[in-house]
Amino acid sequence: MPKNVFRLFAVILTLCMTAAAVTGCKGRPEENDAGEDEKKVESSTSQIGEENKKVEVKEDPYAQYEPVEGKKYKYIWTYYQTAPLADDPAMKKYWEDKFNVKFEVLDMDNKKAEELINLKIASGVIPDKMSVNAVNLKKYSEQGILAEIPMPVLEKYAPSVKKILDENTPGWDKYGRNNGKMYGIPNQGTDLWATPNIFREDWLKNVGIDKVPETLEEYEEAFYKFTGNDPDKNGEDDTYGLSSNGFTAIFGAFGFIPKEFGMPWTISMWQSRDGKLVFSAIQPEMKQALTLLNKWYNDGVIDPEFITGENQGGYWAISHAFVNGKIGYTGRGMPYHWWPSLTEGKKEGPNRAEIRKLDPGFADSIAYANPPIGPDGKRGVWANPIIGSSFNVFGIDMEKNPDKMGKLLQIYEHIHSSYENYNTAVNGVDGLHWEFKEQVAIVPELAGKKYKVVSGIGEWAKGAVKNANFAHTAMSLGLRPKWRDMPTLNEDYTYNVTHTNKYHISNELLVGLPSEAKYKAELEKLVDEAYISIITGEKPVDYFDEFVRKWKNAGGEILEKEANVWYASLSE
Amino acid sequence: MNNKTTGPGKIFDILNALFMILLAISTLYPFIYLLSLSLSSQDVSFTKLYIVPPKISFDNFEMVLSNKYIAYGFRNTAVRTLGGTALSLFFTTFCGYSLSKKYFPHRTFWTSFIIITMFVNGGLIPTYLLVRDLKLIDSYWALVLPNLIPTFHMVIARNFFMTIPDSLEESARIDGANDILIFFRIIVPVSKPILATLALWKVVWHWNAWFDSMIYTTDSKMHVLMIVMRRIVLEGLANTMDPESLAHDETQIVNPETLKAATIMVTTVPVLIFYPFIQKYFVKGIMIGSLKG
Repeated sequence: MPKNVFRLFAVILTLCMTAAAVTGCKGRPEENDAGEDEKKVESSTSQIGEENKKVEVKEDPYAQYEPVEGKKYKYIWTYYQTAPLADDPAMKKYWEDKFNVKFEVLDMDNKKAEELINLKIASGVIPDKMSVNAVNLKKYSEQGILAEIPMPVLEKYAPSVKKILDENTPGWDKYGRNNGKMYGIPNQGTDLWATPNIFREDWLKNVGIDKVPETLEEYEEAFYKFTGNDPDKNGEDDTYGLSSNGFTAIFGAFGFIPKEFGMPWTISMWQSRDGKLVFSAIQPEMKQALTLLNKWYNDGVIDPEFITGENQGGYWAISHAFVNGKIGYTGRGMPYHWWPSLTEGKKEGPNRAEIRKLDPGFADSIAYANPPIGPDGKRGVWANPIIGSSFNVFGIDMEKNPDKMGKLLQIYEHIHSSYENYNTAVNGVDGLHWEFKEQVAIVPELAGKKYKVVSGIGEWAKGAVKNANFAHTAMSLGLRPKWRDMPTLNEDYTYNVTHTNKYHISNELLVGLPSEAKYKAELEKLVDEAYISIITGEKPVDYFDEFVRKWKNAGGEILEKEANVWYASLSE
Repeated sequence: MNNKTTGPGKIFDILNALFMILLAISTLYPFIYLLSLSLSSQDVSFTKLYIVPPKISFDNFEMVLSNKYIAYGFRNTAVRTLGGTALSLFFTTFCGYSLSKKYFPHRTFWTSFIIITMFVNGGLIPTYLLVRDLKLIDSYWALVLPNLIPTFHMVIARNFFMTIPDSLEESARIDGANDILIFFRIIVPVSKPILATLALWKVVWHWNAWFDSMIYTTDSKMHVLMIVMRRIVLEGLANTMDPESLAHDETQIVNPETLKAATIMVTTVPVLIFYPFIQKYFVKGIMIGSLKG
């Protein structure tokens, strides 16, 4: 019996192999043929193109980008979807009628968007507009999926877009490139994406501190009093100063942030130092910071459960340790996760809402602080990079049919040319989906000034409804036009601007490194291990030097070199 | 026998019982937690632990059940589960029965030929391309056909059929029955445990499957229940990358935990209800099917 089975397997295997060989032999030349054919076609078209160019070169080398009058353009569209597309999306029709185009939306779940886009691409459907990160921009452009966006074309057909980019982020065009060609228009982040510094004002009062702490010494004093002076007045020694999300600002006071501790998706940061890009976690200043944290840990100021983090499940931005009155300072989430209800009917930030359920008095005594000033006058918290985290790219079809790109850029130009048009793209049609409301600024810094508030009508007030109807993010390039910084959009935004500190430290390495896949996981583990064991005192502070050596030997040195090759290319 | 247990034996029994109780509690607790979360009103904080919610409300269930995508999801999941299980059972047993017959030509070859697919498969992208080229996108067939005959199920069925004495079949043949008649009149009635087992496996598989629906259907109305649940539960998990909503509206509007819990309850309870009724066949079915052939 086993003999028979083996023989059978052998037969099957040989069959399979011959089959593979036969089809393989058959397949490859065909592919080659096809490839050559394509090349022929390409070369012939490029010849035609060249001939055309020869004729038109005196007028305009980019004349072929001019959209053809009356031609109906069709775009395969993807966007950041937070809800499935509605049956008859109102704004899709609006844009289609206005510009005589057609959008074919690939309805995709944003949590799996990358995987789904890869599937579509594999099956030959290349979206005309995608949002990708730096790693995928490089990958896709090398696979020939992306269209080059020549700067003169952008300048000609979408000058407003270029202007917004130039104004907010000078030097932006260095980022979306591969081999010198520009493939991506970068999204502009907002400096609101920085971790907050939240103190419990009632605790500060209870331990006799009147002023929200400003320097590292004042922070330290507050933490020690939170731990020792029974700030919640329950007679028990059950409070701490800070936990994992509080570390970010402490490291920042020494000038570098190794990573955003306590966040599951955090990655190690790279910062510039003396014109070079360096790995933040191995800087000598971090040894000072760790010495301080280790001292705090030994004195019981740090919540011993910091290793598992402040959040215990549920919505990611909630700090359970803070909400439950265990710690008096945190940096969890973003500033807008802590905002109060400013107009009637508007919800509070999730942390504040969660606190209100337990203790309404506590919910109204949340103090926004600035990050602590360190011994050398440095300060800062983790912030999302303003530019380079994601890019708008166009499918290769737009390179083959340049007029199609011209048309799309014209649409983007329209959207970004005025506040009204921009609002239409984001919120829908004036009067139908939203209305202006004149309001007096509530925020003290802007007191007395009148400004306008955009208010959604009915169901349209909800982001998900806008998103499903092709407004919201659908036609967005993720840019930050000037008017977004003005207090014209809504009171919450204004509040955020005034309640976000301005001391930011961002990761400056904005591309994937060639050897990252090989070393990164191991190196991240090394950093976590070293930092946690030094803070808890499992290893002495001097272990830091050994950790730096280990990090360099485990591939860190190679990454350092690669990071600087990229960094040098930025200033070319 | 029980009254004889003394000394170490008794201690062991007690420890055993304690351990089992702890194990049962730790498995049951998450479920009870979700149940109580789903029944509480939205102003109850769940940063603290409760077993019975301080305020009971059915608002969450009302909201979940009035969601039109949940309704579509139920419809789609019902169609694929019922249709898919029926078809799958039909073809799996046909295949298994043929391969269980010793007189089936080149039986070992065909069995191995099919079993190889358990270890070697085309992978995601070729499968997707195949489904697309068969024009199955946006139809229920895309959810049913690609896994119509799970190899493992087929092998279990085949092994079970091999344990049925040949004489049963022979007696029927003497009475003039053909193969199809024999299968339905003789084999199926004696194979109920294995059929129930396979059906249960397939029902649970279909009920839980979501990724195939996500890639093979482009219309949200065709999405199965699990995708809808996944979307409701994951929404707001990490939406810092949502550039527009930050400036324009309430970024913090995410589905409250209570609503997520209600969604999870709604989507899992049907299977939980179904399970105990078929479980009695379950153990029996696997045991018989696992006999060597």
